[in-house]
Amino acid sequence: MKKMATVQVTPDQDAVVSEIEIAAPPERVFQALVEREQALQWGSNEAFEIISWEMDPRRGGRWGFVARETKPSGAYAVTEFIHHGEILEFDPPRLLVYTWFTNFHEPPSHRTVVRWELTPIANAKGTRLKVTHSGLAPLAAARRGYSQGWPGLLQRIRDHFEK
Amino acid sequence: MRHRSVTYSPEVAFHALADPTRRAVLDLLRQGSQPAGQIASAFPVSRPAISKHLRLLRRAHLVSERREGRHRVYQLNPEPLKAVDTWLEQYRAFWRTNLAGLKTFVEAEYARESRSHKSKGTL
Repeated sequence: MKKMATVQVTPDQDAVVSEIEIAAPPERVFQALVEREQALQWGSNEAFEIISWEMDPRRGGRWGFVARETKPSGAYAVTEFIHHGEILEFDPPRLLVYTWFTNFHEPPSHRTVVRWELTPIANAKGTRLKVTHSGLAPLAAARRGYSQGWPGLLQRIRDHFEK
Repeated sequence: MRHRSVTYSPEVAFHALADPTRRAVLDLLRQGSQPAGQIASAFPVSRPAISKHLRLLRRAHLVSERREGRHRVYQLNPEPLKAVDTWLEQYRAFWRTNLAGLKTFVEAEYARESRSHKSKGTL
């Protein structure tokens, strides 16, 4: 299971769909999505550090996390990237759906949805994990926030990762 | 920002793409140019409504219009979608990075747990 994540955009340009295979059972992957200690570890990367993370793991529960640049670049309109939302579907270990709001969307009240789907593979010893982030197309003014550095930074993260 | 070539605004393209009927019009034009009347007949909405959609698509430069006799013929222009795609690339990169991080973490943890619980067997 050495394959990298695949990433596609739906034809209507509204959603990003990404998939990856993980050599651990769905129960284990699901835990990593909803447990604070684990999310704090895998959610941070070279460029961004998760400084707070919480989730009330049930349908209707709130979730949120705050990320900060590891080396402040001064390139952003915001210094802390605040994400939050509400859990719409909670069905361990196969489905987790929540709304995703962030302070760098314009407007921040714009609702996007993140859907995690877990399918057992390799006799349930592995997991195919699919994430669908929808509601992105109508973010009319969002490009301002992203054009101020966010793209370049993510590009760097990706370049680093793919090296 | 205006260079030799036209600079397309993703904002205008996003607005044009936000409507399902307009997206369906673009899908239809992917098969080739069509006169306005033929486009209108493919949809269960009124002709004036389709005209309005076409006008908006034209303003977003997603379609171009030319006259052929009495007909106005519309053609798909996919150029502005590049601006949309560039914007979406940030999200693609975001999820690619995060899924890779999740995979590395869970696999390492799970391998360690499996080693300490031999009864679980090997993967």
